[in-house]
Amino acid sequence: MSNPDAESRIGHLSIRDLSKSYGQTKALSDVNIEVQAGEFLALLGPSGCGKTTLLRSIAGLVEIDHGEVTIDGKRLNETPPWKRDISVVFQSYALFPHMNVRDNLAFGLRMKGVRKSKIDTRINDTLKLVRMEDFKERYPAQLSGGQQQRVALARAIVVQPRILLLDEPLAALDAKLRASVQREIRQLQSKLKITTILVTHDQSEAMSMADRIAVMDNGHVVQIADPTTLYRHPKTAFAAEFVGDINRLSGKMDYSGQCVRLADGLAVSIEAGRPEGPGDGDAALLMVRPEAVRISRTPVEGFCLTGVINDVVLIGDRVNIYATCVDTTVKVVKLTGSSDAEIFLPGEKVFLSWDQADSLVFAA
Amino acid sequence: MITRLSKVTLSSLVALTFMMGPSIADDPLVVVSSGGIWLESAKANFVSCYEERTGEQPEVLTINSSEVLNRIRANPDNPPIDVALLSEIDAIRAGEEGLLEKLSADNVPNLADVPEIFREQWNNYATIQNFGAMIVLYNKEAVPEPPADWKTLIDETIEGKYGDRVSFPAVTMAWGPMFTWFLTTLYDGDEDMVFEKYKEMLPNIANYWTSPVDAMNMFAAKEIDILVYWDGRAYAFAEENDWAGAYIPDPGAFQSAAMIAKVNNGSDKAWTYIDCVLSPEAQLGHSKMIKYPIVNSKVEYPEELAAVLTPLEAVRQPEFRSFMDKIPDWIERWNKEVR
Amino acid sequence: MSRPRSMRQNARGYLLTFPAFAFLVVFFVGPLIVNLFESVKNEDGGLTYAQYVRALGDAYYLEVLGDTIVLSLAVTIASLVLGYPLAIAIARSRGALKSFLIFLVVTPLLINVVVRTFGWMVIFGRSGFINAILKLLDLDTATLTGTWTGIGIAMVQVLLPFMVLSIASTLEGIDGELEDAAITLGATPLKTIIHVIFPLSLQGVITGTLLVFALSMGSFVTVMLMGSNSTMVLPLLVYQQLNLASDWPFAAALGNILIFVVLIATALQLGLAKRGVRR
Repeated sequence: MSNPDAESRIGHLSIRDLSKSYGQTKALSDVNIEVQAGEFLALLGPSGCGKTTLLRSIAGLVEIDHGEVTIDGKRLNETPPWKRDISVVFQSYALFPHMNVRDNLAFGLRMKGVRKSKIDTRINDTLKLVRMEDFKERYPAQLSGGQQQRVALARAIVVQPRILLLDEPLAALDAKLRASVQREIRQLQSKLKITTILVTHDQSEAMSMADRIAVMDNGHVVQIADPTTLYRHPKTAFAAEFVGDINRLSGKMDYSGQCVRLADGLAVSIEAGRPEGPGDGDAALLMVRPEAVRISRTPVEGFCLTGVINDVVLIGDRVNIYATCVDTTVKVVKLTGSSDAEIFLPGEKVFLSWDQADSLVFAA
Repeated sequence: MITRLSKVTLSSLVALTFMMGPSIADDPLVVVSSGGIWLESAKANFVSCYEERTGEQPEVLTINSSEVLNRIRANPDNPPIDVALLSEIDAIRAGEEGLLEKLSADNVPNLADVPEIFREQWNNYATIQNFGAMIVLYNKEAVPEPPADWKTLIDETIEGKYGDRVSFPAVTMAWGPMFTWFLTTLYDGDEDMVFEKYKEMLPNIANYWTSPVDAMNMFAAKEIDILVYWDGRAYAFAEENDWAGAYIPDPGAFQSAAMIAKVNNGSDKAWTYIDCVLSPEAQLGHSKMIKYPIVNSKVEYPEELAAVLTPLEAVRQPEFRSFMDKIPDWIERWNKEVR
Repeated sequence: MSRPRSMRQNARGYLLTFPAFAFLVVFFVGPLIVNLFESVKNEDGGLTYAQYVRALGDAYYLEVLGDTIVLSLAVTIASLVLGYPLAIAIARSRGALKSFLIFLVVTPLLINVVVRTFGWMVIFGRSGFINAILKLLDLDTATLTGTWTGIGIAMVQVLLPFMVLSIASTLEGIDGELEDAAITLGATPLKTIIHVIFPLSLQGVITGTLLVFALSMGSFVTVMLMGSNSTMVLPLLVYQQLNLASDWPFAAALGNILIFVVLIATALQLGLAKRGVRR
């Protein structure tokens, strides 16, 4: 490729001690994130958690109060956004309505002074990548939502940015389209190896697309991990609850018994040595994923909860079973037709249990 | 659809017709006054007299002469105004167009005390209500000895004696044509000469004014030193400001006047109002408030008032009919030549 | 979905415009027709175009017409250049600041024309503010009263709000992310305005220029108060013919010429706009 800058376009992003306040409200506090070159990172959190502010800070659209953003070791704080080589795909797509698809793509190339002779080739190549080469002359208003989304993506990557930022790019698409676009973006990203940061509030989107996920809450990064680790070993109750479904039971920590004592006195034994857990005798949250819970009509060995079936919902390949135990409803998920997914009826008395390793314990 | 639309159209038209239709017989008398102190005087002196005599309250409009003329021209059979206040020339035009009704001592007893001179050029279709003159207001500090007569003022202005700090009325000011006529009388009736003088003065003139308010503001801000202006306001200003003086250059000034008239087809109660305006009491009261001379010969001015009124002997009434038809040409000539 | 229903709704919509329509017919189209007849009527009731020959066959009236158009164009362009940044400021501000800015822009409209003109005289006058500063700096003093420049400045002051508010209202409708998109694609703020914001605000620019041009073509009070005989405009001639010369037919003819010029300018501008906006 005729790209002399290829070497410097590696795209290793560091965010150090970044803070930003709006008046009295702290939007970001001491955020530290490292994104490797070519990595796909998702910023996941509920609305208002600061993820969009973080994205805009990286792009330079928001002035930060404190901290540092560097790409490949070069500090960006003083670089204005139009010189940062960072592309953004906005939630509204922000396609220029007075330009056709070709001119939308050409805009960034012209602004960056790419030679005229190269502009057409690069536009054609990029449009082919997103399968929009037949729509060059169309105006944004003449395109469907999915097509606009692809053009917005093409416009962002045609300038060969060092970092690609995606701000809830799929929020406006319907659910059916979303899944396929997710896959397309993921494939494109791994093909082009552009360092990419996706902002989303949808955990399944983050899980299915990103190499790593940074979970954010209230301006803080709670945990950064790959999807599997995050799902299996969430560091906080917030992360556990935000990623995937989870059951929560409250109780008291009992280190002498190496267990959590639930409200009705039942002891659920847990794995030894949890440094971040609650202190002895403190209130504790015991969490367990629905698919880890075993359910039977007869008591099993070891600990087991007694419950009454509340509701049974069949969702295609899975069955969701809801049972009332002590004072909460516990959700159990089984594959339809699997051995322990016998059809239970509401009102039936059942026994619930799970492996010690599946218990997640947090301070309440 | 069409029928529904036409129904709407019809009913709106009916409504409009009612709104614009003949006014109800017992409408109040509609009279005209100038604004500001003139309106206050009209209320204090004329309206109060009319109320006393009829027990009714007239409606007073404050619109200028051309507006009055336009309104009565537009609706001569059912005029929206009963008593008109007009400029001299508009009054002559209105009289000739049959828009006014002749005044006589039978209808307006006080007219008997108004000398002929104040109404003969109008064939009794209108009478002067009060009059004034254009005189010179000047800055005593800048011009300690102002020229005694008009011709000297004009020639010295041309010579540049006052810099370019002189302001004359423009021909396109409402009374500009009358002033132009007055100047022709100084130059043996030679119009060309007058326009030549206008042209020659131009480089040494701050401006030819068209707006009385602006002209006075300019003088008050000391932007100009000599202003040709109405006597009443000029005397009043000189009285309030030590640095300003006002005088009548020789050989006097031209008379400018406000004409009062009864509109043809207007209410007969108009006679009563006009009689009020011309009554000695109202006339004196009016003169005291506006500081302009009035026309009822029975009125005797108190001394301090007489001192600031331009005496009748010092004013010349323009011969309106001698130049009326020339006004459009004068305006065109003014626009094209004096710039 | 159901065509007849939407048609009926349309009809109802049109019906609601009836009062405005009737108002325009009675108070706008009516007088225009009367005006047209007045201008072509001769003394014995026949038709004549003599008034138009008189106006268009005279170098003076053509010169005044030319001056009027040039003044209006200059005022329009100046309002656009000065007004655009102001419109951006208004469109971007929020809350109390926004209300304050709008108030500031509209203030000249709330002040009586005589008072406003007096203000300009104080600023422009011989011993006025500008000359006082020039004197302090030991520079030659300038006379702006009675000049086209002075009149132009005073007219821009009054007409600026029409330009600013038209543009600001379209700017407010532009998605803020478009600007962010342009900037992250490498456009400087100035280039963003030129290539993205300005083209998208064209509708407001057109409305603003049409308004300002038409209003300056018809305005004469400022010219009458601030100008001299060497700064004559067509509407002031119309005023003189009506109120001083009492020559209604000629006034009507001049008025119609003015309307004709404004209509041509409007058509030209709308034509240009169509080409500019496309789609």
